[in-house]
Amino acid sequence: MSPLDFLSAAFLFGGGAFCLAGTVGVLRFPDVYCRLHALTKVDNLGLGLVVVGLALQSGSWATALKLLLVWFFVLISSAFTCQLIARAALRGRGAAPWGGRREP
Amino acid sequence: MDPGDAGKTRRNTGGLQKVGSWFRAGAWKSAVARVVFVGMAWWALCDGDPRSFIFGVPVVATVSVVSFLLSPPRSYGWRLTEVVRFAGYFLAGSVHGGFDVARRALAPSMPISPVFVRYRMSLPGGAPQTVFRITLSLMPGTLNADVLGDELVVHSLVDRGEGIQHELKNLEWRVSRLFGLGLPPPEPAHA
Amino acid sequence: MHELRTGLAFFLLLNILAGMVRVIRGPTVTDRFIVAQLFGTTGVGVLILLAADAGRDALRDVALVFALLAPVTVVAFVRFAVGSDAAPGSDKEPRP
Repeated sequence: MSPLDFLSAAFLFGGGAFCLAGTVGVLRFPDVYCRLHALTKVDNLGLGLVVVGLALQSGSWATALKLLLVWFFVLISSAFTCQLIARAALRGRGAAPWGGRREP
Repeated sequence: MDPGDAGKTRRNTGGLQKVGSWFRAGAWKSAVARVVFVGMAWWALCDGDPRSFIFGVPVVATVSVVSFLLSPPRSYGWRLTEVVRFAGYFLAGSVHGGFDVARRALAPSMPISPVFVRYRMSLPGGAPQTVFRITLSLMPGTLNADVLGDELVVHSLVDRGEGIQHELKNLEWRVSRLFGLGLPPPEPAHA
Repeated sequence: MHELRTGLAFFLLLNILAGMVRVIRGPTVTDRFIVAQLFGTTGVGVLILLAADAGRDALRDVALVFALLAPVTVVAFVRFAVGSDAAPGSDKEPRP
């Protein structure tokens, strides 16, 4: 394995770990708004790491750029997604926010 | 927009003003940026196949013209160095944000104390506010929940009191610098 | 490398399966929809992982289409599922 393969594998593993953390966040967080944090931030970072890992081993600039384009679209769409969902939940008959606190 | 900044951009490309009064000096930069973006997107979509440019050149031209017709360039000046700097800040912020939320989700004690805060934006409407709201949602711990005129409802995963307001001010200042708008820099945090 | 990518794609599929728990438990439509968005992002990840194998380049375009269609589902959801014209009580009933 070349050093580039090692780097790529590290990015892929990191991406998998963040996707897992995103799923755990969606499952564990107490209300809609907190789950949106897990959805938009953690999962996008996971996908971003997978994209970088795959772009490193793609062997073609055009393919690497296409992967980055996929990530860019997901990033933009999720930034709007979380705003729209949060607003709908706040204004409509959505979920009441969780009022608790859990200090470290 | 800031009159001083308009003068600066106009001076850079003085000869182009004859093209027409509607075609402001800043529009050239916007046109080049759009053509470059669409062209690169086409190149990537076709996996870099050189033959695809038989179709690609007309498509890129048409898309660029249509994008100009539907959304004419705004009068905000922007500089490439500022865009690169903001992109770096955005990338670092979203990685930090991802780490932060992932850590809280995985920690057995799940240390979160969610809170809604209100924040009055001093950025002008349109593109600057949109960029601010998009980046805000990907920064550590904050999420744009609702807009009421110039006031944002921000959901924060951790209640940090004044810290949230200060962070938002800092981000707003960075967005204003991206668009060449002169917002005053935030005073340093009193931790 | 092929084994790593396939394994990771399988792992992401398991993540999707785990997300089903939140779909079942809800409690609101919005919670379920958030998982649908999670499936979207994870599904894009699975597709680009599989597309890296020789001869499966088309899957990358499928991922691109998935990414572009995700906002459409959100707008439809916001307009018709939790908007002001939503059926009364359709969103708040916790599941038994």
